[in-house]
Amino acid sequence: MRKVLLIALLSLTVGGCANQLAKIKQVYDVATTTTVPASYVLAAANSFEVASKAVGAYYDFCATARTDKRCAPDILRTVRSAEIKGRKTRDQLEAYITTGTDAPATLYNILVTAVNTITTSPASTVGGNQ
Amino acid sequence: MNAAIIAVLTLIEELLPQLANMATAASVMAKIIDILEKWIPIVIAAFPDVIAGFQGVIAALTADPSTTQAQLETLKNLQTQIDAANDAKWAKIDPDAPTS
Repeated sequence: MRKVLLIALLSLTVGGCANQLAKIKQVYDVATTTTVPASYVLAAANSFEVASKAVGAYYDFCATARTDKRCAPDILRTVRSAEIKGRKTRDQLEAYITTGTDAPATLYNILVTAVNTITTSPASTVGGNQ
Repeated sequence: MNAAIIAVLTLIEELLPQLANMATAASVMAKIIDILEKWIPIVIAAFPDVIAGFQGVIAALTADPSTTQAQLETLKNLQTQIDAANDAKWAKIDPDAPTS
């Protein structure tokens, strides 16, 4: 646990968002088991937070570049939907993270899908480089 | 990056070694949560680039079995504040928002 916190703090101090996004892009596949260890869930939750930050920067970008094709309504809706689903799922997974118990893979996979949707959207390139 | 946020990060880094000492870990965690509580609203407003790192700390503290229920509630409230920042940004660009 202390190592996890140390990693989190190091990312706080040395990690740029673009670098963090590059790291999480290579990490996640959906689980094929019925449960997933809490450590995996924590890592996915952390990746979602990085992706969520990129989404915020993407929204900022789109607020000033409304006609940019990367800010098309369909893309905006897709990113927002992934953000909301990811947020709800992250909250549902919190109990498993707190207790350190295995989580249902169905929930974990929703979170992973949300992260992957964001990281493959313009939010990754636009928001990740802000 | 502003000198103030660097000072906050430095302070958290100085607290890190104390987490290895089980006798002081609880009070150190309380200090870190206190720092998060004071600074996250400022970071949201002025230093959004580093907010993901703070979210990582929230997730890690949430996962620590020694975190108390009251601290978990505090962490959840902080996360809600961060989520609300994105909601406010979305409200400005929502393509389905009713036009007046």
